[in-house]
Amino acid sequence: MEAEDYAAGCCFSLMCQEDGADLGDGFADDDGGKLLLMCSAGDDNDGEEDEEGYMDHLVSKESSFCSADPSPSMASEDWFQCARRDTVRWILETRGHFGFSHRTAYVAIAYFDRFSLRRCVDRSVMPWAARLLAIACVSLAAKMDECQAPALSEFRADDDYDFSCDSIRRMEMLVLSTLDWRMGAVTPFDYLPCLSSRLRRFNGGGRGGGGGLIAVKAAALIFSAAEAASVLDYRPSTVAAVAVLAATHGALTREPLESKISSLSPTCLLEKEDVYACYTMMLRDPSSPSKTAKRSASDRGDADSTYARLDAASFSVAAAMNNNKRVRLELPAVHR
Amino acid sequence: MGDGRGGGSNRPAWLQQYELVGKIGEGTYGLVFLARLKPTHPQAAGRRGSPIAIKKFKQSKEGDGVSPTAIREIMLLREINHENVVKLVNVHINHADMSLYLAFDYAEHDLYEVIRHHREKLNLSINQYTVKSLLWQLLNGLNYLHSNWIIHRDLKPSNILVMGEGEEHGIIKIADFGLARIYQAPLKPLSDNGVSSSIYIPISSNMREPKDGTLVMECSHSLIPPSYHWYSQVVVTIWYRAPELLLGAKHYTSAVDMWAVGCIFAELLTLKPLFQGVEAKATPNPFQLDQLDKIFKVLGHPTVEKWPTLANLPCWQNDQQHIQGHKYENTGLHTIVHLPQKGPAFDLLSRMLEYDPRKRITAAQALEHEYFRMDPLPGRNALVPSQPGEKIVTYPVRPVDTSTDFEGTTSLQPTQPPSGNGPPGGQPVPRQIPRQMQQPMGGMQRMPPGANMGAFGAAPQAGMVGMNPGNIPMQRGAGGQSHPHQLRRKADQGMGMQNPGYPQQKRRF
Repeated sequence: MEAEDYAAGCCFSLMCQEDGADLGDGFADDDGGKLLLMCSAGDDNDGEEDEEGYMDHLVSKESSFCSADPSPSMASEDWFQCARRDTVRWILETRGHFGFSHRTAYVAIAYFDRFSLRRCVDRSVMPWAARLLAIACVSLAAKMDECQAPALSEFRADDDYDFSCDSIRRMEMLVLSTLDWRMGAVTPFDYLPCLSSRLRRFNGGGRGGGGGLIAVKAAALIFSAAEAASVLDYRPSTVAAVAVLAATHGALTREPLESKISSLSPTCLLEKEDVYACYTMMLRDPSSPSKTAKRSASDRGDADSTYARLDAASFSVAAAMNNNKRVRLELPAVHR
Repeated sequence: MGDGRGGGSNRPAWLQQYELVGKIGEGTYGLVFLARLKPTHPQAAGRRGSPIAIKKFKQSKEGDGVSPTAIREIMLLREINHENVVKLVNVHINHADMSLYLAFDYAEHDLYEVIRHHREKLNLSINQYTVKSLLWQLLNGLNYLHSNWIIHRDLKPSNILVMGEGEEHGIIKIADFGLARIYQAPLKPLSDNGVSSSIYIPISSNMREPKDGTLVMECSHSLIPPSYHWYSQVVVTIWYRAPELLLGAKHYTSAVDMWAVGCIFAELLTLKPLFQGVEAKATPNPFQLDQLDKIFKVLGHPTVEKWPTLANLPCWQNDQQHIQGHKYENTGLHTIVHLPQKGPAFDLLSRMLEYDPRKRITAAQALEHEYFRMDPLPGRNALVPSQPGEKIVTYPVRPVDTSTDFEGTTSLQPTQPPSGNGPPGGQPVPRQIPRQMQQPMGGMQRMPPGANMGAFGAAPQAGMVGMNPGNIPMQRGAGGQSHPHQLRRKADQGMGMQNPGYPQQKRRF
């Protein structure tokens, strides 16, 4: 991973050559579709070792960003599922609009999901609250990962909402503190370069440029999975491995899937159940109604009752805010 | 002190938990204050009156939202926990103006001041035990950062703090992560990240307030680059910048930090910066001819034989005339640092100043170097040698401007000479600072449920908004990580609290 490796031309970028028809809104109008892949030299063992070391590091880090055991959350509510899907689509569109990397969009989605796990967004303030949250998440993700983050005013691209910069900034602060300032994130995109080069090695390098196309397909699959369910449901390494396999082989039955995944990532301790569930979710027709969250039906009963109480408690505040939502939204000055 | 200034009563509750002592630094990012925890502070238990450095980020432009530098710095500080890295105690948001305050354990000294004290006041070199201990601890902190894939990118003496009297006396803390990055994303060149002088450097940042209250430029001494203290610094100096960066490498490794360590090592030995180039500020490109000139004059002409990837570096390719056309004689590092050429100290230094970043010694390798196995062995209190008979140097405490309140406004009363934190040479106030081993960065800012933005109520599991949101066992940095610029680590170098293992060899008395 030495500096000059990159300079020597080992770093390649891939242009998206697909029409994006099946890729969701974010991809469809994404003319760039660049998927920058880091690729270590691959011509010496050092590169491979670094790659393994880096993978290990990512795997050890990613667990702190996954959600814990199933817990009651908004995720089980249909209205929230809808709002979330819209949000993810908006984030993907926004990525295309600003030319952000795939990673940035994914990080923004992860912020959204982590926030949603910790705070409830009342149904009555949808959809504007979700949009405001999405803007803050994208802005923060861009600040973490992009060279140049857009000014807050640039997020007024569409005419649906007109949030003041102050509102967006306050939302940014709320996201930062809710996520406890842990803005570092491991994403499936961090694994793609390593997994792609592993795949190349396993396939004897014979596929040539195929790796690039696979990476682009995998990226699309990763986002369709992100649209279907919380990105906290599966480990980023699982999502990446599954996406690379699905992009390479298409639909597989369980057994060949398991054998391929263990050859692809021998060092990652992937749980088979997780792999299969993630695979199934990823390849599901995205337009079909989603009951995809792996932790759905069984805990819903309890979740609903908890939620009912909480909704009632926060309703008055939220409803009061709701009256002010037209055109320019000014959030109440928060506690001083 | 502190009370009665800045209208204490209408201050936010969190701010009232601190007793302000005064301002200790200023820069474009904002201000730094010295404060003490009042007994009412939730973290005050057992550490009453502990000195805290509070860094107030200047409110960013509303249209920009929260500053990216602040986000990155806090995010990194949240993830790191090592004895030789500065400890972030708390993050506070002032909701009135959306400004951010970071609370750190206060360090009384920094290497810049330590070196300056020896050069200007004592006219005496730093003793070998102290040099070695400082370097050892610096390498331990850096090895930890690099093991966690963090490059500091801006190491220099003023960013390396040294704890004053107390439990952690003489322990160094690497500070200022404003430019540090986790290198998972391909790194951007420094000039894209706000380090380039044109974006980042404020002219006023190199001013400090002396006792009479007038602002003076501090760079009257030729050795002092403009604004040079951690608490006040914002200027990015090029003196510690690795040659690959100066030649325009677009991607770089943790080896850039090791170059800086080499420069600092030499400076500890000679009390003088090793390569004092004059920065060309007009150009946005990284190419710094004068700095390279200073380096090559000492270390000799770089060659493609010694540094194979040199030919790929943009500025090397483009500069046939200045550097490539010039023939530098190797004047010899040893004549500058006055070290025996065959000795371990010189060997270690020259490995740190290796041109080829691939060949440059890593922090992990440096810690294994023979230099650290020889007497005097490095110790935990770098400032106080445990050998009897060694003279103990008392370093001056940081000057405090007691006329400025937390809002940064200066009171109208005549400025008092700093009391308690006296002028250079004064007696430091003895402090008891209980060690905080194992304590995670407790009490990070959390929103009281429902306190903010009513629509975003806390989720039922509000208790999760704590240190470990998912209640997942943190497996940060499980063993087996490796690093492009270092050998695989032998022992666990995870994110957990770590003590530098001092060389286990019996000290001779």
